Amino acid sequence: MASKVENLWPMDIRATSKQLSPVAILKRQASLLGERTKNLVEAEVETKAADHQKKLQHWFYLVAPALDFYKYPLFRVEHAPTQFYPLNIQFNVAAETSSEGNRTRKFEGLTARKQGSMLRVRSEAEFTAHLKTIFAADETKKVIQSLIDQSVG
Amino acid sequence: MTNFLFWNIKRNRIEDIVASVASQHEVDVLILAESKISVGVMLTALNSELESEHLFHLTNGGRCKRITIYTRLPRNSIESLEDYSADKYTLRKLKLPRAEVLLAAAHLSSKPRYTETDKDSECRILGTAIREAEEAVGHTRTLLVGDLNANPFEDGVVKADGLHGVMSRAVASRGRRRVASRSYPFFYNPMWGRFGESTEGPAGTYYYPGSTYKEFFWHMTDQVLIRPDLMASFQNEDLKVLTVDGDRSLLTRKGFPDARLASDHLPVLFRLDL
Repeated sequence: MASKVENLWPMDIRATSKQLSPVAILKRQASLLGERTKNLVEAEVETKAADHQKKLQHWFYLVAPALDFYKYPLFRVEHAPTQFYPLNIQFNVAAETSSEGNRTRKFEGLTARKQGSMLRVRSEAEFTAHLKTIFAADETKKVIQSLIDQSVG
Repeated sequence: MTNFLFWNIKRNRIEDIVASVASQHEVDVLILAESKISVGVMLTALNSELESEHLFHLTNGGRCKRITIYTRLPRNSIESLEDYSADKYTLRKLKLPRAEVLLAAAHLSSKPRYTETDKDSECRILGTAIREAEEAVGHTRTLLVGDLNANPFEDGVVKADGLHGVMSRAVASRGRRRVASRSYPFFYNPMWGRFGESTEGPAGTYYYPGSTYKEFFWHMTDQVLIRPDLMASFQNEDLKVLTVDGDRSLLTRKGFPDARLASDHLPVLFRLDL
């Protein structure tokens, strides 16, 4: 008869969240876009491992259900798998992923230290402030409006 | 309680009427057949009066283009089972507050040249897909709704290797039936109880005044079928064939579905206590 295997893991390892992670912040914000657009444009977050498992990437997409669920990559966030900050925000991913994209596109009002189109963010407060700026940027509004216009057409 | 509405809207641009019916009956899952209303227009109409936390959204239908499903349930509560779906029907996992349900929504072919044999084949293909999906999800809490383009008494809906729909809860509660060494699960088909003029509501869901020797005139092509495992969550009085949109009648003065106002089919409303 097999004896019960002792669990060597300490009791204080539990499946409860202790800190609001960047991806949790992104998912909460994604779920709120539909309220503003009456679900004509929604948002979703997809997480991928990158750079040979050295980084986690969270892609923030605008989704237009009426346009065969077309997904527009608005920006992506990247950080070490076990460390939330500092993180990088890459905000011209649509241009990067589209051969016809306009690589000179800029989000007005972003003030953090830039590395090309990359923003380096050092804290949760800084992260939420940058998200607010990206969401309010003319470029973002233009994309959302374009998707709405095509959805009701 | 989760409220469902199924309606074949005959390609008519009746988003205001659909939204009005959905609002009046607090519909949670709206299933449309023959909808040519653009998704944006439909969502705008559905959500115009709703609070932000209860908005309808479109569910991803995958390969089934004949059915459109909008829901106010949380975004992750409905999942398309693409491996078991096809052009004419869609199978979805539906996470309701108290249980997961397998939802099959169908709009089977209404081609004029389709014979009884063809319609029988369509029901058999759908029945097989449902049984395979049940095997995959591991339960038989299944709900089938749609325009089957066949009446509850026609072969494909009744036969064991078709949809196996029966008119009696007592019979359906047996669960399964063996025919020629094979076991087939029952569906309970409450639409049997809605035929004719002695029952609540109109004589059917669809009226077709044909000119052949055999005509039924009223048909019950729009149906809800329920597996025995879901019967406890379904009360017959919670099934209604609607004839009004608020103050407006969906019927002509003669009492037939008003195809010019809304559709030649009437909407079917039902609820599950889940």
